[in-house]
Amino acid sequence: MCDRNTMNHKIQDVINVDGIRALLESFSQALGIATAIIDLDGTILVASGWRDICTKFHRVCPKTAKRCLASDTVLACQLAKGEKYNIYQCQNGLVDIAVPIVVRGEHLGNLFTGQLLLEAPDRESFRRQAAKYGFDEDAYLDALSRVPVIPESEIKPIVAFLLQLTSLLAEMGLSRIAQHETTEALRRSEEQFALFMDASPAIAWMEDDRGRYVYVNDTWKKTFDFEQDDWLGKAACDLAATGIVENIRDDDQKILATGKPVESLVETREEASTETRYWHSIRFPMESPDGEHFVGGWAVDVTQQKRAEESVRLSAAEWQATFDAIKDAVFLCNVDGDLLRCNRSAAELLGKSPEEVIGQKCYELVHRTTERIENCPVERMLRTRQSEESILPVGEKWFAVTADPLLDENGTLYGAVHSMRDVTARKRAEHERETLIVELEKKNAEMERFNYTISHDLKSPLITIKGFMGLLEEDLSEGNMTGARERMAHIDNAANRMHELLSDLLRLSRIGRVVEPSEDVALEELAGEAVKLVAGRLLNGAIRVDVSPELPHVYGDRGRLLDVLQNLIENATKYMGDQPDPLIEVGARRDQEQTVVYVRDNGMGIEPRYHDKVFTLFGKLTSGGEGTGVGLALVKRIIELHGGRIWIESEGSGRGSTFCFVLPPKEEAINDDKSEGQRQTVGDTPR
Amino acid sequence: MINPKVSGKPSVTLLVEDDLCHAQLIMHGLQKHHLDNVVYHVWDGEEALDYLFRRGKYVNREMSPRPDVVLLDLRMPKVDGLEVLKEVKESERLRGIPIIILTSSEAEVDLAQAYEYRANSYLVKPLDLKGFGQLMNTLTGYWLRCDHHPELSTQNEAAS
Repeated sequence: MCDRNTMNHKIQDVINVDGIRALLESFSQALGIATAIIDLDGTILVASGWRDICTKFHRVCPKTAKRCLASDTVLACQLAKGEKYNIYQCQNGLVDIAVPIVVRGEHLGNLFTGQLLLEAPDRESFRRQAAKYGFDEDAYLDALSRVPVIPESEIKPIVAFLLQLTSLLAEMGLSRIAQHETTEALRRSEEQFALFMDASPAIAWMEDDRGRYVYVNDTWKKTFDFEQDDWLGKAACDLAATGIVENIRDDDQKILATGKPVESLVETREEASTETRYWHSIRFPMESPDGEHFVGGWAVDVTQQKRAEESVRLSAAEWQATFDAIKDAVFLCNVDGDLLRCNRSAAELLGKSPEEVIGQKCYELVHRTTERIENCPVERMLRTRQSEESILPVGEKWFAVTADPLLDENGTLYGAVHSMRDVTARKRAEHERETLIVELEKKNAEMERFNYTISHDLKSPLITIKGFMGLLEEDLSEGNMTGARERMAHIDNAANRMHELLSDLLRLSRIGRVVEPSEDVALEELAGEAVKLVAGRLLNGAIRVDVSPELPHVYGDRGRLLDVLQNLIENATKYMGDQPDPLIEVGARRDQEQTVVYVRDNGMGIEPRYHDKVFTLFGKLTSGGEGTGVGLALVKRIIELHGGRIWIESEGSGRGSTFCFVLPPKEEAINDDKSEGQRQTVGDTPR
Repeated sequence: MINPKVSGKPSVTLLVEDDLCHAQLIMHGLQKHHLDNVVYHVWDGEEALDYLFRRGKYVNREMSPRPDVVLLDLRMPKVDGLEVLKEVKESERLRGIPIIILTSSEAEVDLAQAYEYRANSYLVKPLDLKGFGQLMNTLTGYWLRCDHHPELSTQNEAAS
């Protein structure tokens, strides 16, 4: 087969075959010669005026038909080599003329004419051909006789006509191809454009100068749920379903007026929906080639971003509010100790605004030093990379200080969260508690001693009573009345002693329980009362009592202080010994800014090593004799309850004793809470 | 107060007691059952130490023979019984003397303290005369007749 220029076109695509068929039929009828258009594959597209010799014989008998096809093809192949036309004798003995149909250099097919003879036929050779292929000779020769004989000179104008015709056909084909191609290109371009627009995640639209939609992309339709083209030609305000807020119209007018694009954040809310959607929209003016004005628009749904931004903004605000709500001072600093941020409590602790604090060194601000603090938890945390905690003094306060690492996404330590909690109150409470515990332990020990001495000292007279009852019985059985009287005296004595002990103990226990409010007490007056109370012990004036007019005023429980003076004077009367001129002095002296009140006697005195012992409960220095050993314990207790101090001055046996005490001045009296005075020191913040 | 009752080779008891009545009850009990016993009575802890360490008015050995047993009250003026006990037991010369605590105290703390200071016995004063008699009988019977203890003076060996 010959080469085929295989382009996309088929002859029937570029030439109006039906139109040509009518033309060629008219041509055939006028000239009495056959015509045909056959494509390069040999397909006959148009055939008119064909001769019987061809249609009834040559193209019927397979052998001759094969020769027809071979002839057609040979003719076509010669034309393909660039011949303008070809006249040749077909293998079955007729003459054919072929003219190629070439459109834009592409050989699409051939226009044939022919089935004619240039001169009168050689009937003999046709007869032989009839015999050879088994044709009916008469009919065959009859058909031959109807084959037109056209001299070669007459063929030329026909060929010229056909050439002009094919040239016309080619032109027609060309314009048709061009048109087809343009249409195709346009279709493709539109398809591509539509694909592109419809695949866009942004909604896109075009409105005319009256705000009516002339184009929307698929995304737009899907977004606003339009399946049909019912949006077309409608204005945004008519499409309530889109919920597009109507400030857009104004914008559109502005865009058309100024010719400048507008970029904005647009909110939409669909009907029956509370949910607002946000769009980042860009609208711009467009002008069509024929001067029509449009507004084009793109918008991207930024609801998610918007929500995310809102959520970020909200969580940042929440974080800040939480940060500021923390009552502990919290700082964030980098590894160099530069403060990155701090909460309100921290700023207040430093007495500065948060802005002033940022960028400063934490140790400069908090500790007022240019050196890093070695035992600061932050420093330790920088070494250990773990949470650290300490309780540290800052100024007059105590702080629980913590440091936690700040790590970036790679786990690299870049700073610290540094918090400070004022634990001064707790520290103070702890200290008070410890003091109380010590005091309580002391009290408990005292109580134990007290119980034990009571049980012992109360039991003693009981042993005497019971034992002496036995002796009394013996005496009575022996009739020893003198002895019996003596025993009874002892029993009576022991019973009295028990009574005395019990009443003293009662007095002692009252001291701890009954607390009268403190008042200003004139000691001179009080001493006078005390002397009256012990008058019975003064042996009708044998023991003198001098009360100094210099006695001060003190602050305390009047009744208890009376007990003190009464007991001290009474005690002095008991231990006068063999002093022939007993004297008791109640006075006061100044000693190191303090007023010392004293009760002095010139009695038997006390050896220095026993000075402390006399104040213990039941601590007596003499056997038997007067007293229960409660009085001085009671005095000491009262003085100590008042926050005062008591002691003995005595040079020893026979040299007299002086009982001295001091009471705190009114402003230091133990009812006052001393710690209350120091408030609002460095960094204290009102909360 | 010194109450010697001489019979054969008397043993010596030192009674340390501040309460006159209690002392009388103890003496009564001792005298009733043990006539061969010499009892020296001192009134408080200070005097007891003076006696035992032969100080003050007890410098003379004749005044303060080494006791075979000490009856020691606990709660006394000036120096109390526990201090006496402690000092005696710390003394090389005296620690061999049996010290019997005789007190009205039944407090756990006293008992514990007394034994910590190596008291030889701890007795609580009975609540009647009969009880005193029995206790003194048992006491001297055991400590003066049965018990052997170191550093007994030669003249007392035969008696024990």
